[in-house]
Amino acid sequence: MVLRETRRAPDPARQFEENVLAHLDGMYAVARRLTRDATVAEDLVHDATIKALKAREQFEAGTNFKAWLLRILTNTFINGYRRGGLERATFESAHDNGDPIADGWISAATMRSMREPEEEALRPVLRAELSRAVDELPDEFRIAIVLCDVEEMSYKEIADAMGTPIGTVMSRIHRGRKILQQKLQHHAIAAGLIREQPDDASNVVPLAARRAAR
Amino acid sequence: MSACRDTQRALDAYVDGELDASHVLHVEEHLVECSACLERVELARAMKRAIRSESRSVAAPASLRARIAISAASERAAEVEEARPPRAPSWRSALPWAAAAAIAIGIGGGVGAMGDRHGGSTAPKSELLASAASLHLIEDLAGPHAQPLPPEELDPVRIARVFSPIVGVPVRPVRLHHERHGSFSFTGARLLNVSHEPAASLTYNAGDRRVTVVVFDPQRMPKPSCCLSRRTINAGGEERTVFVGRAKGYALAVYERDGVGYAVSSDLGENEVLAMAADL
Ligand SMILES: [Zn+2]
Repeated sequence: MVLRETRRAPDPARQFEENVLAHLDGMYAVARRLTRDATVAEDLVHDATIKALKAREQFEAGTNFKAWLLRILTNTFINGYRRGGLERATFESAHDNGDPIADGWISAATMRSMREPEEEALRPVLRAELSRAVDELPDEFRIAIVLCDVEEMSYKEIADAMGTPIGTVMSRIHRGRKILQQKLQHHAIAAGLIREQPDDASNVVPLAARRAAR
Repeated sequence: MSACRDTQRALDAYVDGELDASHVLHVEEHLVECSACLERVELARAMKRAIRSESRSVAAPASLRARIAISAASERAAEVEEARPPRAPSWRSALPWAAAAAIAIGIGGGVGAMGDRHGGSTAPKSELLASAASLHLIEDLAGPHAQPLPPEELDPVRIARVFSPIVGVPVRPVRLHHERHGSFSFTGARLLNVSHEPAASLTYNAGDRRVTVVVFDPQRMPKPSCCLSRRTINAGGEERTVFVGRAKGYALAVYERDGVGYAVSSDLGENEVLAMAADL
């Protein structure tokens, strides 16, 4: 019976399942980021995968399959795995107060010292810190950044996955990155990588003034 | 200055490859002459790369693959069943026992049985191993109540048909009553792992009171001897051994009936879960 089955044309349900399982590592990596917990990540990927298998008729051939799977994963996370919707309101307002450092005036020298000299990579001591900082981001910022950076989804695909306009995705990515940068900068100072004080006014002088001073 | 502002405004879209060609040109012209903006771009890229590599260093565990394979197989079996309604239920032959065996890892050698039915034959290697296994078991049994996850299935017929062969014992939503809180309504079931073995959790509520019943195969689990106290209660005229105590902040009662393991956890007290254990 089993032998006869393997000789027949591949069962579309099984074929679809194989396609889904081919993306399991990516889905798990994203789920670990979203849930911040290995066990919950497994539950999330399991639920999302089964949902995807059940919804296989709804996948439009020719569209991005991985983005479709990640949309289901994101949906499942947003709708079932978050404890209440309180977090969103608190954080979105808390991080929207126009902090000059959060707004991006970190000096070029500071930024340069956060990278490996003559290399494109972030300094190893900052990589672990960055990972922690991503975990601490509010859900909305973290989801947008993870989908963008880990899975290289387009803004449009992220907007579809999160059920928000593209503009909202852009502002979440922007603000999320500013928070990450700020935390890295504080950590770099604490670790002695840079000597500048983030609150020192000389560190937030606009570029034109710096040029004039040279 | 204004060119710097423009560049910064476009920076995210630029490093994410979302900027259209004419704007890319504009940004890159500026980057050639502005080291500060170039530095911003480099830092943004370095962060993006670091997030990607830090996140992608994990692979999906084999147990997750196995669990999905089991659920997917039972989904397929259920679809076949639904397509052919007149057939008698035959899940015992239709479902993937081989797949179920794939996640039957167990804990060390300490897979002793609950109750006296199998006592002795598969005794734990050491007391320490037994209590470690037992501690994990209790945490796993209380986990679904402490951290509830959305149910997978609401239909009792499908639960019995799909979940039972995976868990290895009959899984059926029961009627749950409490003299003070009245009748509890069934809110759904889902599969989970308890001591690395498949089990099912059934959730109920009455108002803001919740009860979670985890159904498992006691033959596959260690005995919950540590951390819980052993009580003998009268259940409908017959004596029943129940392990009762608190785990993860909730009252928990674990017992075996007719070869099926049950763990009842609730935000009600220990006496209440004990009373429910007597009723079930
Ligand atoms: Zn510039």
